[in-house]
Amino acid sequence: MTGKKLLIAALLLAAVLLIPHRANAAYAEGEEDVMEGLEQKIDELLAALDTEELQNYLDSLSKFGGVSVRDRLKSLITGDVSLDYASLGEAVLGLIRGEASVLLPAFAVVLAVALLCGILNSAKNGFMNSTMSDIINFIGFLSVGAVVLSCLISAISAGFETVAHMRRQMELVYPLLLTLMAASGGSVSAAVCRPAVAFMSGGIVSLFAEIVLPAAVLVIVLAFVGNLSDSVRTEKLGDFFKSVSKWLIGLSLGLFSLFLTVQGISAAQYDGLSLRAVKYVLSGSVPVVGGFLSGGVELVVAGSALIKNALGAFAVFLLFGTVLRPLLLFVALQLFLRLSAAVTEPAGGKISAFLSRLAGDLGYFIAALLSVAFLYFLTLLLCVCASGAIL
Amino acid sequence: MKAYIISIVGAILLSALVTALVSDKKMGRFIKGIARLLVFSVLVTPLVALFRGDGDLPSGASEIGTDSGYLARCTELLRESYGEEVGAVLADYPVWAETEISLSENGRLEKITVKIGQNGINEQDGHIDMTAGIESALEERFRCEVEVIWCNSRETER
Repeated sequence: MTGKKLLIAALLLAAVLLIPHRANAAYAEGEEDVMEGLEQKIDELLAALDTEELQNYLDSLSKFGGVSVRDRLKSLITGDVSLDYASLGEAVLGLIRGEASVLLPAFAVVLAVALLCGILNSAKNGFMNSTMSDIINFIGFLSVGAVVLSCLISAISAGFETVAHMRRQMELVYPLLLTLMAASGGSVSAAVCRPAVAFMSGGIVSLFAEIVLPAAVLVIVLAFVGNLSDSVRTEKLGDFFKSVSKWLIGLSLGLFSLFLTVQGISAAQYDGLSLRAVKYVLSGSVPVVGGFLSGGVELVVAGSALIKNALGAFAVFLLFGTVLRPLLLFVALQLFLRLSAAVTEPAGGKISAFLSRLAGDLGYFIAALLSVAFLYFLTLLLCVCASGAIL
Repeated sequence: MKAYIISIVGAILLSALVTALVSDKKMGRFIKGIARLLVFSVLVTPLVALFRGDGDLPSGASEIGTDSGYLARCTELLRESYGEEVGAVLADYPVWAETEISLSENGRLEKITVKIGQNGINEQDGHIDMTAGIESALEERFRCEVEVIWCNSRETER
């Protein structure tokens, strides 16, 4: 009797354990069908998305040549892209080393000229008369200025080009993002974000490209010119333009980012309420698989949302690749100027003060570049997250 | 802005050159004063024009369009999906029907029109009951306007 009871208990236990497994198996199969349907829908939607202009832009860039936008978006959606942080770190260090090695000859020239001027300054009180010594100092300053100017010109051109590239990327990515936002149920979010992104790609970038960056260039030029002659002073003029740059950068960053954040949150709430009502209605009558996707309508919306998020991530990678090299160039140049100022200080003369002032003035250029990149990143983040909160 | 920068640099360089070349006598000091006034005027003139409203400020917002082809394709897919779901509801009724789905600009379902072909099988009262049943089922499910139209079988063949 005891054995029979044990056998019945074992059979019951086996039945209890087996049934959920069978239900899970059926659950997993249904979910697989939905995921397959979603993949097909994504392929269909990707084929319908007009990425030709973005592809042409990528093909024009040497470092991104051969990259297919659609394939890259698909791999971002399926998660086939992995970030190797170790090799990224190595690449960054390699870039810094490369820029530093290009600046080494310039550093050697600056050091040599400063030492010569230092020796001549000490000889001024000895066998050389002061006028000749002043002329030699002036020529020494011009030599250092010419070398530093040649390094600065390439960096400043790279800075202006980077801002132009960011503007072009905004013009290509924003229309696609707004389209995908509207298609994924974020119609209010898209309508609310449209004027903000239009102002970003038009007004804000123009402000930086036409006022802030040229003002930063003018500050650098005034630093040069102000050191040519003791009677021509340009410090206050340089301070005025620095102040203009600082205020414009601060106001754009502060006000615009606050405006974007408030708009994005409020728009997402409205879209979220209306789309959740649709989901509730649909999922009430259609077999729900895992409470996730329940029908063809949601596959279309979810497909657009996934493509939007992938496009946002792709745009961020593109932004990072565009900004990284010029930024490292500026950082290397600023370090070079500070090092040169430190090394030439014992030699005396005005070369050290000039190099130190230039290093400080270069910071405004870096700040302007980073501000545009940050605002672009913020708008991308809001476009992706504002309607991403809905699902 | 570029022209402004170049003009300031040119004026300052000229002033520095004049200061270096000219002597410290009366005429020399007069020339240095003129050079400084030149620099001052080059600095101030564009700012005066800006305050008058003659200057160029950065352009405002640019136009951002959308991919209308993609939105049209999404609308088509949504219409197909809604059509399939309406069909699933109508499968419970012994009728042959065509459905028209009306979507708003942002893809929301606005109206479902069901055109049912008459085959002479159902009686008049049966039509009314079936219409009410279909409308009620679809309104409850999709929360939108529903219209049921009965057509002759000849009209549906045309």
